[in-house]
Amino acid sequence: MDIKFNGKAESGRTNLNQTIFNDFQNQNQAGLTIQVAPQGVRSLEEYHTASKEFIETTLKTLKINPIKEPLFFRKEWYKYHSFDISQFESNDDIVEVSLLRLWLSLTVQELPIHLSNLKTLSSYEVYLDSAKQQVVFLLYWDKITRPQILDKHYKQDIEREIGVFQSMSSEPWEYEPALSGVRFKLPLGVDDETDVKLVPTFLISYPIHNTLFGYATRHEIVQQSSLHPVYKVNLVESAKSNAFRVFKPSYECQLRFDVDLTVDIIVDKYQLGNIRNGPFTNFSIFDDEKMDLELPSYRIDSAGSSLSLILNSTDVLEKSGFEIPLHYRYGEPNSKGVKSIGFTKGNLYWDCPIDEDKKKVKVEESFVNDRQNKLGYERFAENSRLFYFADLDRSNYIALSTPVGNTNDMFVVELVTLSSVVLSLFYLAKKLFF
Amino acid sequence: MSKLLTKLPHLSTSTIIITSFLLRLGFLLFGLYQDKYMALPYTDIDYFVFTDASKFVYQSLSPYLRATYRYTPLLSWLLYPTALEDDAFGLPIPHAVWFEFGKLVFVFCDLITGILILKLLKKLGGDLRLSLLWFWNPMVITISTRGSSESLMTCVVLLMMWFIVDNQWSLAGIVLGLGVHLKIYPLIYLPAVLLVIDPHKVWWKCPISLNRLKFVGSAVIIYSALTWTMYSIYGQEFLDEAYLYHLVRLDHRHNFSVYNVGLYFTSFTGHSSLKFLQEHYLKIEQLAFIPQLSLSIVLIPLGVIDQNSTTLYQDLLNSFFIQTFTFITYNKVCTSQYFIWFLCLLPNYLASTSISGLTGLVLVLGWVVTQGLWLLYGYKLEFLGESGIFAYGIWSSSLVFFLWNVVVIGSLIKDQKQRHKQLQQDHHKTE
Repeated sequence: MDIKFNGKAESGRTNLNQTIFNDFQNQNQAGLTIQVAPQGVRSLEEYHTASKEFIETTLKTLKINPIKEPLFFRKEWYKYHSFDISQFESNDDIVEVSLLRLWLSLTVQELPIHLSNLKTLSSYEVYLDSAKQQVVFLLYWDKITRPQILDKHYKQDIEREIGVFQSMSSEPWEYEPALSGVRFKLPLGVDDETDVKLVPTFLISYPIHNTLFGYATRHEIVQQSSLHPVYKVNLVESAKSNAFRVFKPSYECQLRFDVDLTVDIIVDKYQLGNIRNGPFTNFSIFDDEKMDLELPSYRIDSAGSSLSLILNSTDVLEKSGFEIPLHYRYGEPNSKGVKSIGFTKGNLYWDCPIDEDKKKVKVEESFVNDRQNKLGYERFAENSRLFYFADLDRSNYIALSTPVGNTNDMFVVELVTLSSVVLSLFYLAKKLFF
Repeated sequence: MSKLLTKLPHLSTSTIIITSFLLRLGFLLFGLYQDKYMALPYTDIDYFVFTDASKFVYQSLSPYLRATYRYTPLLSWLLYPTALEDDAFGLPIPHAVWFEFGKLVFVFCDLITGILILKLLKKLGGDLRLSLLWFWNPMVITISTRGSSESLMTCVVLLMMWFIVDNQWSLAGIVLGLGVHLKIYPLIYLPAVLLVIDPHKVWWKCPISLNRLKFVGSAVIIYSALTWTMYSIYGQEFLDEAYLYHLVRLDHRHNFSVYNVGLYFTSFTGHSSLKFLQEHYLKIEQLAFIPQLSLSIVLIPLGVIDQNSTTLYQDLLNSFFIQTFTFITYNKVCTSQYFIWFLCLLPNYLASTSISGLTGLVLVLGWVVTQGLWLLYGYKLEFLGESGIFAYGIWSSSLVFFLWNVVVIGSLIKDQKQRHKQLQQDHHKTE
């Protein structure tokens, strides 16, 4: 899709060559001007449909309703649309929300305006100054002659991608940002003649893997030097405000913990099963052969085992974590008498079921994933959504060490053992018969 | 020890049994409390192995689905009630109570062992107070109330001994067959028993007699019947887990045995570090059976049992004691549970010993101290993870323990020699 900039200027206003969105109230064309020339479709009919959908979506994204039907302008492969902001019920909200969104997407900074001023803002302009390598916002208030100018300089070439998406979610803490919209890059030297390609984008409104906010984990090994260490997963609050601290995403979620262990380390499933009133409501251990706790690691013909726990979330929250008893197998003797071992930290997460109805709604409301299911939505269909607790430490590996036999001692051990046994046999035989 | 015990007042048999029962009941109840409220559980880890196996049997599955269950299925059948659910058979008994059934069985066997010790002491003229070494021994009480199955074996061995003393050879054979099916080690008693059956038929001149055939025959029949039954139900897995595993096991953890660290090394390298063994493709553990079996099965009975003795059954009991002690000393695996196997024979051994109190005390103290030394290094390794401790720590302390045990065996053999000498002298005097 192409977009052409509508650089309309009025007296007393900055001559704008590179306006992206123009919210001038005094242009009598308040609102957005979007010109769309969709490409990458197979027929004129599809172009028509795609561009119409794109405009509707963009407007929805900024919560602006169109007052005119899109036009097929000049028989060109694009759509032009404008709207009158005064027709809307909450034009103030439209201005401030769209400003906020654009500002954040271009600068990734807090908007340096008081909220009270923001609410009385009448219009704004945004333009890219490629020569000065900056993006500029001009903010206008009624009865104030001069605009407030906010700008951000870029050291490197300005190439920022802006996405305009329609979000189904209305609550800020919801984990389901169903997003359909367009993305476009803003290259250098943008002017009236420059085409900016709009890429229709469907962010799957069904993220499988999410990070839980408000809580995180810290992993440690207790009794590290012993052959029976304890793997402790601590639950810590990572959000300062209670408002953002949500422990359980929804009622039906199950708290789970998965960890893969190397062959040097065992979890005794019978020991876990005998932990009464503990944090585990159920667990399973996957290993390639029967759990022989007595065998040394070099006599095990597998890569290790995997432990999957279903946790009692009340118990875990109350005790701020949980513990898993581990055991080391005897390792390969070497000349140092110590062996380095370790394992990748486990993942603590909520496993939340998704019902079919929710999935269906998301698909239908997405303008990109149309009826022909071009993106193959079913690839992403899962029965669960997972919410992970982030780990506060950077490393995802737990390094350990265990004592092993020293091969330098083998000869002495064998020789003295054999000699002692043989001599004792003669000693006792003599006692018995002589 | 006998002299120490003679300072105790005489107690009636019923008093001994009742107090012993109450002691065991107290330990059981405390164990339930400890399991529920304390971090360190009272119940033996093996008890969970047995009861898990019984759960599988309850579901008409193989007990060998339980990893590390390396016993006869008979044991899991015996503990079948531990798998019963709440209100089974319409009885208002919760599963938690049924679960403790196995411990009650073991405590019962423990008490039967004690009763058999009493009966043997009575029969062979020993001081009944010696039975307190079993009845009131906290180690014995702890082992059975924690759910260890060793009292089953002690019960079987002493029952066999009782039938022998009563000259009931077939019954003795049946019990031996059962014992060998439960655990292999009672087989070591077979040659010794043959020496006391028809002693007038000296073994190298006339090895076969009807009574000996009765004994061996009944043992073989019962062993074969039980083993064949289990094999027909559970197949090769039964043989692999219950018997063959014990020939190739690599228990070098929690192990007093002098071979344990050597086994650890050779299990990794695949060969001995000693050239003369390497050249013949031999490893020490393959040769370990030679001193163990030659001593415990052949040499000790021949050296300790005098077929002309007037106290033949006492000789047999003494031989059992020394054989068992020796078998454990030279075994590739040596854990505290095994000590019960000879502890049940100790009261009857002491009934005829001439070892002085001081010597006995030194021997016992040395045995305890050398064990303690190993336990210290075992603790350092397992719970403190100290390195460099395998050879000069674990192995060296197990070597010291082994050598002290050899000293103990030597003292016991000397004790029996002196006893025979004394008996001969007394016999000559009466003549």
